[in-house]
Amino acid sequence: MEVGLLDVVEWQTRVDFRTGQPVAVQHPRLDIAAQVCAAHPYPGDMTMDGARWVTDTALDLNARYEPEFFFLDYASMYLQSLFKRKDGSGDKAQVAALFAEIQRFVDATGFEPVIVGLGGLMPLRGRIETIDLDGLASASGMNTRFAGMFAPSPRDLGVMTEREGVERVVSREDFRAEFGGSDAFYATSPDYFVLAQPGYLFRGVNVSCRTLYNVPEPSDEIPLYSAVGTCSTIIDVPAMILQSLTSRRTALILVEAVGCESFPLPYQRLSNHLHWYRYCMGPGQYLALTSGKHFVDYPYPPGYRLELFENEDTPYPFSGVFQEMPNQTIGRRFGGRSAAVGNRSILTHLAAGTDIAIECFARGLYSHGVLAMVRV
Amino acid sequence: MSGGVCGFCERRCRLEVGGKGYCQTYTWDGEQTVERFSHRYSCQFVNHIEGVPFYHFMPGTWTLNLGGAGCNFDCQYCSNAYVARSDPEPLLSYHLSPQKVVALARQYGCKSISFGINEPTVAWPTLRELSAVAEQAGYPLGVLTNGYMSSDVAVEMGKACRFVNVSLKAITDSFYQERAGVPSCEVVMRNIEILRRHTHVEVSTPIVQGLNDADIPAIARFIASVDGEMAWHVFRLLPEYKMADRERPRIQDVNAALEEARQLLPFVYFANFVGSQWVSTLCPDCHNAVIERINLGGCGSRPRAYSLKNGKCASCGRPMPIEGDPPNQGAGGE
Repeated sequence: MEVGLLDVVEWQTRVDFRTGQPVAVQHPRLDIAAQVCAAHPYPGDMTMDGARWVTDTALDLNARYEPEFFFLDYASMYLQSLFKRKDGSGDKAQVAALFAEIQRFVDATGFEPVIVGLGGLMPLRGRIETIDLDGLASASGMNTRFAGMFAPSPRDLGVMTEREGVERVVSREDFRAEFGGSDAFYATSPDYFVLAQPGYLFRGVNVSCRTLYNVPEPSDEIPLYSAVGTCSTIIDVPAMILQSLTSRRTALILVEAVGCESFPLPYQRLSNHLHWYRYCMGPGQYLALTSGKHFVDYPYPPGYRLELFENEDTPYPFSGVFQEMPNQTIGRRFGGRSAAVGNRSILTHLAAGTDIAIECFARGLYSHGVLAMVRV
Repeated sequence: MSGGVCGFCERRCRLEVGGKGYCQTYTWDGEQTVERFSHRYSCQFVNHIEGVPFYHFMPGTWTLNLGGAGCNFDCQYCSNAYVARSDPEPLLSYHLSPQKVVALARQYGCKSISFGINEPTVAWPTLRELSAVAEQAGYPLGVLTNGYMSSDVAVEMGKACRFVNVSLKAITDSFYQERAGVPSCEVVMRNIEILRRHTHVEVSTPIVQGLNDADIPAIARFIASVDGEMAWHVFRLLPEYKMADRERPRIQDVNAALEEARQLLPFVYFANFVGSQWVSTLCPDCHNAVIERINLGGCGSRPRAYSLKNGKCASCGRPMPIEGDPPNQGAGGE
């Protein structure tokens, strides 16, 4: 089973990760996670101290657990860049500081690093209105480049197709014919997918009103630093890591808000798209990189209706819309000891699938504490 | 007249024609106080009503939770200062008629409409009009308020809103003076009594350790004097804004202080930290979990299971102060 260890500074709870109910499980891994979480309170999303927290926490976890596979993700630069006006001059310094944290981890542990920059950012160009439609539009969250249209009227389809900032409107049937994928993906998908042009986001119900200055830049290619092999697409990475793990301790390190232009190490170019769908920092990209499966193989389509995934009996209440733990991730497939630390809430434990996964527990920039998911 | 006094809240700001008061949302049009941003909103979310939070009103339903901008307080620890203490003009980017708000609630499968991001008193004419239209369409309106409205508005709010959550931040004037920027807590206490005479009321108190935790017993006594079965939401405040560096309250200390309050009030909840074990509604007589909830971070929670039938504990039959039985179905709009 998976046990969730919730640490909100000076107070910890253990819960059945599937049900959310308190449990009194004892296990050596839980004791390790409890000690590490207690020793490293999360400093918050809006400071680069978050990157230092990832490394400090990972070093502590490594010393106590000695894993062979380590998953790390650094999201501080992404989270800060969205909400701060930047002139670009600070980016180089931030990237340098971030990679210094990665180097500190590598130097202290001896892990063979495989580092992926998840893509850069670009200034927000505009917002696309959805609230004036006749039908229901779904564009949840802070960063909404995809919207879903449910039961749109003919007027809605005409309006959205013509609206400034819209790149394309695709029916579910056309989408399926082009992308394929699982039945579960289409069971909850909207009648029409609407994609914004680069730099545009949707606005409407369930969209945060915090002011954004930058958004992810959709990239056909992202940078990969690897001395353990080569890959051509992001779904090739898990196989390369698993191969590397047969002979050496290997760490997969994801770095948000760094694209090919700002990646400071020698790199290979990884294809970062499926047809016209280009991955941006989010669950689809994380899972493609760690499970080798494209987003259409998971039951969480872009533009889904958030409220359909959050009911009384929804399992895994600490995992957002995810109702099962992805079972093809590197952490799940690797037979040896594995661990993860990251400051992308939810995505760290989902994508890592490791014995122990520690992440910040932040929602909407509010920092509540630290979460560990522990397999016992 | 060149100006007048705003009567919506007890700040009683002097307004000039074309000017604005403390909350920035009202002006004087030459004859009366008028809204500067009528029927304008900053955001709208589909939330569990327990997440707003309301624990004793229409449990297990979804609410269309609206937000505006502006506030008549300046709480130094405010979690929503980006809407409460910012220029409202650029934030209020949605112009929604009452009919459109009702249509959205219907589309998204909501059973009520709430206003819970910033202070409703600063947009009261809009919300009063929304209430009339929504009520007629079968959607009760509720609000989260700091309770600092004038007594006239408190009466109106009590009649127009079917559920109200009032934040009683402390029970000492000094806290309100130093931390919220208004002279006294008396207005808030007065308005809780007024509101309770007209509608369903729940009370919230954010705890900042060292500043207002000593007020817990007195607040409990006050709530008990108004309605001994009122829901009281105590929050472990995560200070932001001007107090972002302050340490977080220690959960065990606050909960120990609440133990005494629970002897007086049967429905004391303690939240705003993930994994809280004090967010479920227990029957005071048989201790059955009438509504089981889970806290996922934040002030509210998500319902998990019910043992409530026709407003009574399903185990022992004790009447519960909860309006509406939970539905059997989840979300699903038209």
